[in-house]
Amino acid sequence: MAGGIRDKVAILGMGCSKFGERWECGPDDLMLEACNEALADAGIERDRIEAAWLGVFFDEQSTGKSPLPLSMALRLPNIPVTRVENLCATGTEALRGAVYAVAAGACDIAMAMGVEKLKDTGYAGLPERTKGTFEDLYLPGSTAPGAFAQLASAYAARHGYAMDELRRAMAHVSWKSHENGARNP
Amino acid sequence: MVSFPLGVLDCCGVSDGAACAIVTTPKLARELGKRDLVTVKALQLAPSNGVEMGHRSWDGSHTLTTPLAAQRAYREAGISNPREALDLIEVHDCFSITELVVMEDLGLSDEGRAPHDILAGRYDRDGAIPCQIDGGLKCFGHPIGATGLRMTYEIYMQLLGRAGERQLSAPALGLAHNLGGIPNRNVASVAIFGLAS
Repeated sequence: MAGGIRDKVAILGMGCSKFGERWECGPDDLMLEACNEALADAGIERDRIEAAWLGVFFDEQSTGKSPLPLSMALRLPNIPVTRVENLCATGTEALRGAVYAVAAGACDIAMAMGVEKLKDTGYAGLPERTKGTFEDLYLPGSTAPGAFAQLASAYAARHGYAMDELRRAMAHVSWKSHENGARNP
Repeated sequence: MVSFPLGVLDCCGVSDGAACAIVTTPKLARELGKRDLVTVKALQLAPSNGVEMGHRSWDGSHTLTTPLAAQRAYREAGISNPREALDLIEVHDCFSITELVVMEDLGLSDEGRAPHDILAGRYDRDGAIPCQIDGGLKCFGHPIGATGLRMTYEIYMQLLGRAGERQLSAPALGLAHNLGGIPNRNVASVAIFGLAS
């Protein structure tokens, strides 16, 4: 029986661009920023990377389909690049591809890159065109805040909390994260 | 108010960003001169299969997928008691209520007890299991393709002692959780990273 991937793969280097409103640059600049930090951390040349996985969620609004945005932004030496998408787990899915490739022994060094450039697309997180499994335009008016707000109502009902009590805990969640974030400019 | 009971500060924003990981075998990493190694302990996914919307067993108060991904990941990582084992976590706090219910879905709070644990400071930076030590989606926003790797980056930096002003005291094991989609139709991922022994 397969034993899973525990301790079969190590992280050689990582990089993370500045997040936020990056009006001044495109997705290729963001990928380059993250890649340069990761390569410096790893202490290797770009050409030692044997395969790469690119995580992009929005096909047409953000960075584009296909492996080409990554391959072209980094001028990779024509190594295999695969674009993956798995909803909000897209970045983790890219990592999974690279980790599995190394764990399988298919290559020695692999890259996972995740990128999204949303601020200049006009998308602010509210309704988008949807594509259901069985029906096109499934739940077309659904929004993320609308759907997740119902978690709160259902949780309060199931566990017998008054909404004000639950909101006090929710406020603590947000307060704690913003307080942590203030140490991470 | 965005959508009752979620106010603006309960929600994360959209933003721009990229994050990158370069991975290799532990053997090659050592040959390349790495002394402290962060290895992947587990990487698990669990997508919905339609039960949430097709059967009354799901009441909408939590997610069905996160517990499945978490239990598989704990098994893959060889963790029997995650409450003791985990030193920091990054979870998908797209909304404050998501983080709250995920604490139970990950098995870190007892069912119905997450609000008490949260208010008691269990997930604060000086609590038993610090959560979103980098500020999470609330502060970074959510450039969707990059988010999972941004969480991995924070855990990697913390494990190596390179997190600067926000560095925790000698963490050895961290977890990153994503929840894609909406509560009734989603995919959960749980990744666990640790220092190689």
